[in-house]
Amino acid sequence: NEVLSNSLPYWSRGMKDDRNTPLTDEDLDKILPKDGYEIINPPESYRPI
Amino acid sequence: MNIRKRANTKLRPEVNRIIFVRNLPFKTTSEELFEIFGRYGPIRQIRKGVAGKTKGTAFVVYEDIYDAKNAVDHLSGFNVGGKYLTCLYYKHKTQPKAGGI
Repeated sequence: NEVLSNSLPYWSRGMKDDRNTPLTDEDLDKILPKDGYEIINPPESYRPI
Repeated sequence: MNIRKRANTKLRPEVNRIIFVRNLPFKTTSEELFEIFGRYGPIRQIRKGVAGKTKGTAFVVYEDIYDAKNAVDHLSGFNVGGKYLTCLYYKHKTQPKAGGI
């Protein structure tokens, strides 16, 4: 399916499986434990590189 | 500009974007966590253990799986406040399924 490869969403090009699809907050809440943990927000100085 | 070998590196099955970090000093601040882990790529979310037995542990979620792999490779055994970090890929069953094409 060469034709399809460029129509794939950007995150899965070059990746056969789906481990790089963006995770929504619900996904994270389903996957990660909530009790005993707190979600910390990035400090203002945090600039994703 | 670091050129990352991306598409062709084959990732082992257990590699994923969520890293479980252990052995963090209790006084590690959010800024420190973002500073240490942010160096390897944009971070989706960080959950810090605040209750009794979860203290000293954290979940760090990266946007990109290659950044997570890079972080684990470099940060395992990283010295923070005199303690050596343990970084493990968090094995979770509910891997999100990509939409059918």
